[in-house]
Amino acid sequence: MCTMISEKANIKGAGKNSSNWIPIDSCDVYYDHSNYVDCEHSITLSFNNKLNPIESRITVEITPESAKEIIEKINAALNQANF
Amino acid sequence: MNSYKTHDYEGMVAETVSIKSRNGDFINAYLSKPLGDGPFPSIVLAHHLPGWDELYKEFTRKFTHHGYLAITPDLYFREGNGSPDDVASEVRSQGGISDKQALDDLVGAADHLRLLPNSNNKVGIFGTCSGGRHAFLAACTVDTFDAAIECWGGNIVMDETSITEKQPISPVTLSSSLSAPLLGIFGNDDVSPPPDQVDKHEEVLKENNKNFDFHRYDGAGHGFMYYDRPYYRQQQSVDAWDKIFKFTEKNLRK
Repeated sequence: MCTMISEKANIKGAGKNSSNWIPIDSCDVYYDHSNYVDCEHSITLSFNNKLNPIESRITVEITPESAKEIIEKINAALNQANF
Repeated sequence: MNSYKTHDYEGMVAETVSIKSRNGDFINAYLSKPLGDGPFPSIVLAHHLPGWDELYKEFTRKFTHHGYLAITPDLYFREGNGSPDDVASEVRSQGGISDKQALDDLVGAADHLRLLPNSNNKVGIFGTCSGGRHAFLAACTVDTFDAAIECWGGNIVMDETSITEKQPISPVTLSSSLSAPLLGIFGNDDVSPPPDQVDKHEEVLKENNKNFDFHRYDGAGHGFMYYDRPYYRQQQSVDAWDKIFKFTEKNLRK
């Protein structure tokens, strides 16, 4: 069975689907069996708007190593900006 | 696997239908039926955590190709409609669905099949991932099913920290109530369920003298029969399907 490891971040931002920018206020973070990426488990980031949590979803699936790399790079960018 | 001769006639009807859950709700289900008078055996499919998706609709038709009335209820119907991936993401963010809701829908699906005029009145249940868990739970809690196939069902063996309001009972504790022959399919590289939990699952079934048959494949992990996933394992998958149809023929056909 899938792991059911799931976290929810309340955020403020916007995401772009195939045609439009939409406001997003939530990001579900999963660690589970991958759908597409060639690895046993992956991290899925599923951004969405709570008012329309299914159809608003913008999702990416990345390897756990990639997730760590992104975390590092986000922190590096924020540090450079003295944020 | 070819179970038919080239001169055999074959046909099926497959469509989305509305069925009545045991709790009285109407939900969507995907139903496929061989053409003909039958009587045909039946199978209820409990879909996996990734949802009521194309893979499961194909699995449904696969059973019908082998001569079964087959139905897969949309266990996430109440949670909303949309792309199966997105619905599953929403369900996952809510901690999954409750065991009671799943069982209500699976029993309703079995009742729907038994009412079909070309049913032989025997109904099995098949599930993978969370559906494997649901298949085992169903076979332990209701006497509706004549055979159960559990593929890599996780959280069969739950510790206290895993118990939730939606999943209030560790299914392994219900093993003494298993009311149908059970076929288990597992990959030895799986980490959910890991091999030691499958060992425990098997041990408790043995202690209770249950009719079960577990097959555990080397070189295969979770979901190794999902041809659309990177961890598909062709040889193990072909062998597992062969074992599944031998099991259903033996327990549901006659």
